[in-house]
Amino acid sequence: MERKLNAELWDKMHYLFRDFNDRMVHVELRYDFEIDVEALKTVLICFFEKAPVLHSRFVDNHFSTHWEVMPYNINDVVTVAYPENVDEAVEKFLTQYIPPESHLQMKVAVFFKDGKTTLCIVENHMCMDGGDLKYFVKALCKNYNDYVNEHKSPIALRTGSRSYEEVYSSFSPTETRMAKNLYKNVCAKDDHSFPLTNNSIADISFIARRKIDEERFMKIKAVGKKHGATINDMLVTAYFYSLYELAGYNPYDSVTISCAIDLRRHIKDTEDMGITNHTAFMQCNIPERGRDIFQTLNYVVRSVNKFKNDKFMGLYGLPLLKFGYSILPHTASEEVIKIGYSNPLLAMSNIGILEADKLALSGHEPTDAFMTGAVKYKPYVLLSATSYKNVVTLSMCVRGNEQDRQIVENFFDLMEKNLAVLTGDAEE
Amino acid sequence: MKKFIDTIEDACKDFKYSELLYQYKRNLLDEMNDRACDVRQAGLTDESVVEDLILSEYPDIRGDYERYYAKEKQRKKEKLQHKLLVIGTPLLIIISVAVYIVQGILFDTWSGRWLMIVGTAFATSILCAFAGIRQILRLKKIFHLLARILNAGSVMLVAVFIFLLCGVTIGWSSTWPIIPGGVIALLILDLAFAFRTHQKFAMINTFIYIPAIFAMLYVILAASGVVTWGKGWALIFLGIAVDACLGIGILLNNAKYKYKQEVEDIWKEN
Repeated sequence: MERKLNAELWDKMHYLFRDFNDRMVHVELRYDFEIDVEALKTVLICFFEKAPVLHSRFVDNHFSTHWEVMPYNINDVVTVAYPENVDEAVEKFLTQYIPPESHLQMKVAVFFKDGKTTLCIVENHMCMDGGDLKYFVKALCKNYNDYVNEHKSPIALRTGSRSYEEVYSSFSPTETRMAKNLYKNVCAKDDHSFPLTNNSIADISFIARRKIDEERFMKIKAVGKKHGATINDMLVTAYFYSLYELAGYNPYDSVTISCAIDLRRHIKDTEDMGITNHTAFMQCNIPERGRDIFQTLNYVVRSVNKFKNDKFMGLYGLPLLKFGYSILPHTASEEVIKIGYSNPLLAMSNIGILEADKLALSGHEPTDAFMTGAVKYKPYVLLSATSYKNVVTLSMCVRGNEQDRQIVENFFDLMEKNLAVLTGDAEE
Repeated sequence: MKKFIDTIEDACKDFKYSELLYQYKRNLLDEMNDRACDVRQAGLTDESVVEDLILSEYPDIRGDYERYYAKEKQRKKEKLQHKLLVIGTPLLIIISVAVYIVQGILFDTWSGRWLMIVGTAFATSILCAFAGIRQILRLKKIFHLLARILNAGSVMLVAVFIFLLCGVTIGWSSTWPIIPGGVIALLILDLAFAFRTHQKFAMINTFIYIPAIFAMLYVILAASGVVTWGKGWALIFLGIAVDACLGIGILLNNAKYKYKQEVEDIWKEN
């Protein structure tokens, strides 16, 4: 019998983003031993059964949308290879695109070389965001260990509602009503863009990354503390300042960067929730570049604090979106929402810390771990940041050409330089 | 499979044997075996994991049976009601026609007695409509419009019957206000239905229905001489005023739930 799942609000929104990015979320974990592929497959089948959206195809019949659960075989999900050049294989695997109409919404690759393993995961953002993918990967590791060590069935994955309305579940009735009355279009219109080349059909997806070492990371943390800023604030500041330099914006121009925020902050207990999306954006805006990077930092902290002190942070656009999607047939709703929605040209997503102990397999912690967001289509860009063992990985996924890759590398150089200025290791 | 059987038997051990219980257990076991087949086809080879995985999908077999039992009872009850309706409706109409003819022949009282046939036909139609409404309410909200139409039709049948009854017994000249009265009842009941079933545009319906109700009230009161035709139309404006008051009331109530950001917009100072 045909099994259908509800297409939730965020599933539809990410589907709408098809014009701006490829909607794939990427994970790469490197281990210094060979993992047990059969055990991994067992865990993954259990997880796919617990989260059937991962083996469903998205159906858009113009009037409405839903997920249709499809049969699958784990060998279509997991690729095992022994490449000569692991980095090349990883890049090729991670930059693949899974269409929403595909029967599988997640692909996993295991690359073996010289007794080491690289585990890569690519999944459709319509199924879950970085927050839940992080949980998924941690649960994968825990269940793998329990299965391999104690032969415990790997079925410990959260299941439950995927609805966006879960964000209201911890509110009082009055607060819920207030939050559901926040009919506000929160899109910030800012024409400042990342200076990439024009689109070309020859463009290909690539993931550019840069590591910030532990020493610099600790300094950033310490300097941030002195200025009442978080690591995220420091990174956003360097992002702003580097952009002014790279793109040559007028220093007196106001610029906005959209920063992803995890709406799970509003939910006290996530245990009975299914894997889903709970991410919104806040607009971090600075009125001008400022005379130096510390003034930029001051502007960033003030802008971010404005949001942090808001009880309903990130919940403003939801009732309007819900209304938009519920009054008209799907295709018409999309057209209406597109009128009011403007995709941010500059965005940042701090995925946060990847905990080494929770990602350990058979007692082996990953030698390196990294996660990043979707491949954006020009002129849109998203800077992702993850930290693993106090090493921050900055990444930008772009569909572009070699020149674009060079521009992104230059941007990372500027980021490094400006972070050094912030930590007092270099002068402007 | 043995683990499935043991788990099902253990969860249902407190229930007395019945055909329904057997059916439930049989269906559940078949369902579990089908699911096990699916996951084996997906590539899962470890049988103990297959069993644990499938059983984890049924965390409350006992509760599921209780719900299944209640649902089956309700289904059987409704099936019986439907049978009664299908057989009873034409039967009642035939009986009413027979009674009408017999009493007409015996007592020669034909005038007005046809109402018993009309009344029976209307009553059975209303019963059928209610059965239909119950079924429709289980469907998606998009189909609820049909239920509202049936609801409105039922109210109007009652109004028409009262009109006919009063016409036959009191006389036709002063009974017609019963029809606009029926329309008022229809609108009020439709609103009650809309709010009870959380229809999307219930509030918009309210704003449209209130002036309509007052317009009907004007017709009834003017026809019965309580207000004059010349001045009574002010009632329609009263309806619009009630609408306005209601709108203001809703706005004021919503304002209580309007969240004012405590943090001022820092860039305003720049």
